[in-house]
Amino acid sequence: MTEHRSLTYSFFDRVILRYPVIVVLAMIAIVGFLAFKARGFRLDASAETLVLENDEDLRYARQISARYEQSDFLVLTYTPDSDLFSEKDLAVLERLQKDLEALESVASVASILNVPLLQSPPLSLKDLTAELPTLNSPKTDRTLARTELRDSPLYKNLLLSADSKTTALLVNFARDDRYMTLLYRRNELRQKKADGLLNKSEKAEFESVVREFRDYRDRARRRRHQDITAIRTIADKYRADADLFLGGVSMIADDMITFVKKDLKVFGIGVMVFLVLMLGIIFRSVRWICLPMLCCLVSAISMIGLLGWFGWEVTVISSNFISLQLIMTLAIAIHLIVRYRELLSRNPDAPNRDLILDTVRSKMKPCVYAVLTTIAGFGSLLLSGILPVSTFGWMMIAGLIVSLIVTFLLFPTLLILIPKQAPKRTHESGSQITEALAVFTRNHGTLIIIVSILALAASITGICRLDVENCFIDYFKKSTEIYKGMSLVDRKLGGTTPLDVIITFDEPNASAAAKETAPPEKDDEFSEFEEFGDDLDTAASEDKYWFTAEKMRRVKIAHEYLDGLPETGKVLSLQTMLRIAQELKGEKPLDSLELALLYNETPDEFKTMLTKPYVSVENNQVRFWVRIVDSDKSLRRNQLIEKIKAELPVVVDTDPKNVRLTGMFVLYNNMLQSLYKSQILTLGLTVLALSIMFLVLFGSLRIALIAMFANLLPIGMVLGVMGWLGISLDMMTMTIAAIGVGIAVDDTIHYIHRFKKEFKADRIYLSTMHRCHSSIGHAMYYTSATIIIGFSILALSNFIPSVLFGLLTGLAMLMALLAALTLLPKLLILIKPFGKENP
Amino acid sequence: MKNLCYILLILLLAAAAFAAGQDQTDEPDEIQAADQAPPADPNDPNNILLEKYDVVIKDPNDPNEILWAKWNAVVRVLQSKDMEKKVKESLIDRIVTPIFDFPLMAKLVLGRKHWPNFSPPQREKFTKLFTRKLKDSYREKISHYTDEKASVKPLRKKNTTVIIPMNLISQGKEIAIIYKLRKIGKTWKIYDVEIQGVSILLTYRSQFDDVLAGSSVEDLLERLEKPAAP
Repeated sequence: MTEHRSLTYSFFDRVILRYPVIVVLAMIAIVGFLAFKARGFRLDASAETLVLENDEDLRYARQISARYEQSDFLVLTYTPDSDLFSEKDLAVLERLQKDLEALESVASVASILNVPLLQSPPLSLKDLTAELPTLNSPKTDRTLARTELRDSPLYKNLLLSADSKTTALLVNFARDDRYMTLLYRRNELRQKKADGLLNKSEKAEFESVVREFRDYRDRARRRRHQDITAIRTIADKYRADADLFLGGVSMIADDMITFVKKDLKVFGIGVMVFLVLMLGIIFRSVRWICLPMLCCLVSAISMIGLLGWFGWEVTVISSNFISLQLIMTLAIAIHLIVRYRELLSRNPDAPNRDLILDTVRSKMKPCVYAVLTTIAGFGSLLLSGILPVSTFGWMMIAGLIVSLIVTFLLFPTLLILIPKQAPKRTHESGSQITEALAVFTRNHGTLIIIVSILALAASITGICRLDVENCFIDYFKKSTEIYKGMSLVDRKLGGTTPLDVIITFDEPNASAAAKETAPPEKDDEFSEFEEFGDDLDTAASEDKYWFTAEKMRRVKIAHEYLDGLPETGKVLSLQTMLRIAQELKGEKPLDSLELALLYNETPDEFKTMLTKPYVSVENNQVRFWVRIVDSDKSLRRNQLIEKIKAELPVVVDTDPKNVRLTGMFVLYNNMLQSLYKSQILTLGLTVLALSIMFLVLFGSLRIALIAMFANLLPIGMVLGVMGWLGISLDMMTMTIAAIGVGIAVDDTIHYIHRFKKEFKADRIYLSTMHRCHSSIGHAMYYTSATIIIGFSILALSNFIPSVLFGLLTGLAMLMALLAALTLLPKLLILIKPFGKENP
Repeated sequence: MKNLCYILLILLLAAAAFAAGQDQTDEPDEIQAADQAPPADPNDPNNILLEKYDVVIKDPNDPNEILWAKWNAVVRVLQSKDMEKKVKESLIDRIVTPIFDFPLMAKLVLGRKHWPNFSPPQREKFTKLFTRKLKDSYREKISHYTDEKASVKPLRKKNTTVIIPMNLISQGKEIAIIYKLRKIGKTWKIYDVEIQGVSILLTYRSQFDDVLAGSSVEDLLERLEKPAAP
């Protein structure tokens, strides 16, 4: 340790403080280089980043999406003030549809205007060959059409709401095969690389595919963003006489990134302004505003540059990393300022260089400890195995190291370059408050312990109430268009998040048991099979024979089961199409022969349209396309998935392995569950790691336990408050535990470190506490006050995760501060871990 | 489409009517006798009717003649206005039953994949149930006959079988039917019919495949015993 201290001391003494100009110039050069590299910085909030990269379900989902040729779509709702089916409104709707169809990326737009009508007037199956009538066809009976669109198993709640007031235009985008080709190649090579099987040419190919994919994906995302903007612009033209809302999964992803970016800009500046104001109020000196802000700025630029350089992408999960880095940098800077000012006021005549050196020397150790323990806190993110989450973990670790280096280099060098400022006594509210807390701790120690235990109990109860749900609609305030759109689509037009239910039928096979009991065959028994068998066997494999009454019976049961679940909105499947066919036939269910004839007789184009999305004869499976009502507050996503997985095989009488759930709904849920496991369940591991670190740092089990308890309380309280307020753990709030640990350990470490040092002066716990509260306590208070108030501005955001981040981070800081300035000293006084007091 | 089915079944009946008077044995119960025509009692009014409507095949070696004669016989029954539906059904049943090779159909419908898994009693039971099923199916639909016109095309020989294409004109639309016959003893019997390219045999085979994929032989037999079986 001595060697370490002397090394630090001599490094700052002989290098940093001796050649401050060179250090500053070198830093400018490095930061300039990193700023240049920041061009590669990417913010990625695509749906892809919200799912697990190596998830088996993701691979399956992509396979299914390709098999059934699914493409991305958006839903634009249209609710005119007058009657939707009036000539005037239909004409407006037609113009709107044409405007949408004119967009380059739009492959097709399905609406009540262009879908085929089969009952208005009723058609027979043989009429399907002719061009099918639509709402605007001369022969169409509008009254019948209105009823058909409202009641048809296909169009009901998909294109027209039950009250016939709202209609939806389904805007289908062209399928992006290039994206998938690149993605598959990249993943294939990535896997090979992981297995160490990459040869030289493949290595080069991997690098180029990674680059190409990223560029292509960015372009595709920009294009989709432009499409969404263009659709909104078109919609705006029609708002005079109607309400229009946009919904759909890709819009959620796009809006999320828009909100995150907007928050970064608007609130980034807002937070900066608030931080400056707070620093001004606390220190009343330009240098103490500029220095920490400069440290924050340089750290942030360096980090963004590093991210661009390493190709780490910021996702919605890691979107708070800049804010967190500001917090960490500011904390270090404020601790340095407070220490410097403390030394200055004690020795006003000491040379500036000595003061700086002393500041750095005394603060280096606790700051390094704090950074190390915070790294341990964020270490839980690395264990997740989820790419965007572990990237977030690496970002925070790199960010902390960058903040530590930048602040410890920039602060002393800049401070030595500017002349020493005479100490001035400012009106420091901090001293009053920390003093008051010291007095309170002295007088009401027992109360603190009781309240802490009660708070811990309340937190645990709160934590038990926590639920793990990711409701995208809850990410947005009720006043936002996205919220209104999503809730309208959810309530009236079939739900939002797609869930694919895939049922694979058993391959017909001869049962082994039956074979054993079968008597040996005489030769002539098989002669007829020899005679007819081959021809029949070949013909039997034709698609038309696949559609048997037995399969359709199961499809019907499964469809009705899924449709009957309160959580599901629109369910489309082969059953929907069969019901339409049956309505045309006007009789009881089709038998196998009729099904085969129907399949054979239906024109190819119509057949593809009706069956392709729902049947893969080749794979002997059917697909149910379900949309989930996401805004339903009672929706328990994981439970729903588990329920369907358990019940559906029983309902359709098949092996559970034949039923698979996939689609965005499942992928988001997988991500959330993994995140939950990695975050909350590894919290125990983090606590253990931190305890060991405390043990190593302070060399005492008792101190380690005290520190841990003082840390657990604020983290527990943040999670407990979330539980009590009904704030779910979702993709955005899940990382709050790690953030809480990171914030809480700072205060604990600084306080204990100082306490240990101050205790040596008189070996009296009570007076040590008073000295700590009026020295390190100030730094802790200033840091917390600056950050709490600085980030409180996020409460004004329209993006709920930003609001929650701002408020919960503030809460974590407040709790950490209170615990560190009341509970922690009380425990130190009570347990006396530093040895006996002087009499 | 609806008409297609009816026509097909009428054709089945017509074709089957050929062998109405041949090879008749006793039927102790309904199921057992399902693949055979009812007994010929000279005093039974139905037999009198049968004699009136059915035809004598001049050359049982000519499958074309068999088909055409049976078709005409069934159409005559269907067109008679003073006959009750039940009587018509029974009469047609007796006209057509003899020209179907139900045991072969039952065997082929299970195919070499499933047939070996059926024990001899199960095979027997299956054949009876399947025959009944085919008959039930056309009986149910027979009342929908209108006035379709038929024309038989030249037959094609294929190994031991013959294929007879027939065209039906229903409401201005031409429907292609193919009969597949095999010679049994002295006469020809139908073992499959294709309508617009869809084989009845294969439709059922695929249906039974599905059932047997998830259930046992006994399950299938049990399901076939129910009136609303697949």
